[in-house]
Amino acid sequence: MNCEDLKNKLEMDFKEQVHSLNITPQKEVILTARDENYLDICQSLFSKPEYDFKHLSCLTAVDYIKENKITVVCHLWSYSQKCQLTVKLETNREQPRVPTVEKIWKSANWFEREVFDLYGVIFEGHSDLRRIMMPDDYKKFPLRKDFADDGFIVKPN
Amino acid sequence: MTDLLLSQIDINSNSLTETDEYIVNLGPQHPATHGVLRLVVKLDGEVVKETMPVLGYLHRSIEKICENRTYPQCITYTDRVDYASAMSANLAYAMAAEKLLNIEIPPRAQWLRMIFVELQRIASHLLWLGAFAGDLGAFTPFLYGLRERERVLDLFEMTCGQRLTYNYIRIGGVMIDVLPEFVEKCRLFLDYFFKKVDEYEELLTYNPIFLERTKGVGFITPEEAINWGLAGPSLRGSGVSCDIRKQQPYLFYDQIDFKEEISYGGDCWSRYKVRMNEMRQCVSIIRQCLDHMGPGAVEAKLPPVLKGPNGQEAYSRIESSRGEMGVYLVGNGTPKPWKCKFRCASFNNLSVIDKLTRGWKVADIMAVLGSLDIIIPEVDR
Repeated sequence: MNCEDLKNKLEMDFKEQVHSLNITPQKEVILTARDENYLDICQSLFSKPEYDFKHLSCLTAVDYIKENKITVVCHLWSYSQKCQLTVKLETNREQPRVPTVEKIWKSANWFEREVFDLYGVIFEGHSDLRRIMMPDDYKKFPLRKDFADDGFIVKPN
Repeated sequence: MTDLLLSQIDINSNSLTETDEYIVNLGPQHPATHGVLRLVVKLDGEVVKETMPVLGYLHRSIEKICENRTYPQCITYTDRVDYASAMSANLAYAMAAEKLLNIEIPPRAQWLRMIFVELQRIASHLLWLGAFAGDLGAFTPFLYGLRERERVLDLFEMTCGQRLTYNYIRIGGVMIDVLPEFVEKCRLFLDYFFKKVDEYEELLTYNPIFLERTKGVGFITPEEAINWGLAGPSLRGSGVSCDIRKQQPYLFYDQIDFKEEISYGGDCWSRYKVRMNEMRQCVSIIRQCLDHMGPGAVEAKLPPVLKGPNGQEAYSRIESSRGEMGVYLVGNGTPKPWKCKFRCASFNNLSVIDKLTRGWKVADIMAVLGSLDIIIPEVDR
């Protein structure tokens, strides 16, 4: 399935449930979900045979400090349809809380722990939300753009 | 941590012979964990009840460092993401950057990239073979594997002067063209190496002791393996066709005739068998690349300063030696990436260790860990 087909199909199925849906110049389809529909969209993408996104390739977050938001980004891959999709969910930077997709893709367990560890995003309903890279008693979130440590000051661009 | 774990243990006081679960710390300085990985193992006698990996001993915050370097500077750090397969990491990053910046690569550079990535796959699998067999108590394959790996490293050294961290595949092509004698030396090595794979297989594949240690151990079904995010040879060992070189061909893999190696057992032995067969496929791929490669430029003309387009992003995946390696880049109109994420196969392959080892004996943890081909710098980054 090429990216135009995928976009048209997604537009038909999820038109009311997304903020935006577009094809980037890099030929990737990006879907930005509404908060309340995020889990439903993920569940349909996983279980509907015409999408069949069984593989969560990557889950990460991006800190947009100027817009005061953190975006959680999921990259999905469908082994049967051979297509790639990016699902995004935006959340507030002060109180970042998003629902977990661990129940759908088990691989999200560690991905979400990593995002929690480095960005401080709380995944609601996660079974084991502990720090994964940094020490357990660490207080800061290193991949945030305003992160600063003694002797290691980072200025956001 | 230990106090917390001890409180979870319930003593089965009703049975006549009282058994007690206890906790063993494997690592972080254990030879079989291939680096600084700590496994907290809950045991009942010799039976594993739970395995909890503790990561982060090798966390160098490479993703944070990359956000503060320019696009070409980041290549050096990708070497350190996976030092046993640095060419693949170079390629994954370079391809993501080229996708973001929309750069075309000359054909000769693409063939060279394929040759070096496949040579790297051979070297990486040889190191894995030695370590895996070593974990199971067979020391000879380690010597055999490193003997041939040395010859691959000689080819690398001849081309880019490095034996471990190459920094060879750059944005826009490769660092430098190969020497005129490289093709002949490479062919000599391939002829020599192809026969050696049979030698390793003779030592291990149907060896009764090896079979006893690996057959049926660490079983995972295809559906579960996909759901847990396994990738590469570990997933193909469960009978899933997942090779990105076939699924989403990059470079010139669609012009090459090669077989995707799949084994259906889902156990340690199948994962081993996939890697052994893959080494033979590597030889065939490199031979075809050498035949196809014509003269020409090895580097595209690039602007003096590479600036990622504002608000755009790229996610590119390759089949590295350990499985799927993806790089996610977000540009913001400056010479530095706003976000750089490495999706490494070892990270996800390690997350399944608890599932694979439950109910097996403590010695089987080594077999499972070895068969997943974990490399710790890639897990921790």
